[in-house]
Amino acid sequence: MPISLRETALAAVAARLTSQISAAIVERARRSEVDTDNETLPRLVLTGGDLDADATLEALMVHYTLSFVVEGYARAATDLAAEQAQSALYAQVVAALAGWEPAVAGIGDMQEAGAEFALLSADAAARPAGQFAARFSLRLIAATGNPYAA
Amino acid sequence: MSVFDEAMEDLHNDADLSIAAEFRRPPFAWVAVRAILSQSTDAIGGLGGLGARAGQVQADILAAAITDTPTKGDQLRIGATAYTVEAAERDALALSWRLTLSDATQP
Repeated sequence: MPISLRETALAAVAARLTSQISAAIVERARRSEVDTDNETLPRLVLTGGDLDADATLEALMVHYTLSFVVEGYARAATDLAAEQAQSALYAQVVAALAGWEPAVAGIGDMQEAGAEFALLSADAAARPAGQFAARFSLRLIAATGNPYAA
Repeated sequence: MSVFDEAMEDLHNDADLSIAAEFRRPPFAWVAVRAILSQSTDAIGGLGGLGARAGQVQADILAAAITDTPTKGDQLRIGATAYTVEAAERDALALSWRLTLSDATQP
């Protein structure tokens, strides 16, 4: 069964994160919250987003823009250290992905699209921890009606 | 002492409800108190995504057991764990304090 270009792209991103950020656990397609008290951190969760399609750029080809989010979770002994760990993990994600071109035909043009950060408030979390959601996009190019990896 | 004081004191002295703890404002000495703990684990709103799940700790102590008005940076020690007070809220009758605790170490 052929593998879709979307899945190929997300698998490549996950492999890149795993290889470049060895200190963090990388997960895909997780549907439950991350337990910042009991799970091993730092942790990254990659989730694929929407696909925008543009068939006007090239004859017989569709140019897709795939958005995805990398959520990061970090914990530390103090509030300040938790924020610093969050910033450090985010920087590692950007260093791993921004400007990187997957070695897969039809996938490229990685774009960074910003991030949101939050330290978990004390009335919700006794242990200092933080999370971020970093947004990126990739360009996928496929023949019309054939959105599979080459 | 009103009936409310007595009722609150009874609750805090009930060994099934409360535990021994110590309160202090660093660097002053620890003062023995009884604490009624509340610990829950809840989902915390995410940033448009999954979000986190974490546990919070709150402790009720009798206002009469301490001389200070609890504030951020005070400490409550339960067993070997010294929690830091993040916030303190007094009940309507000013009989007890509900302390929101952090187990972060002091920077």
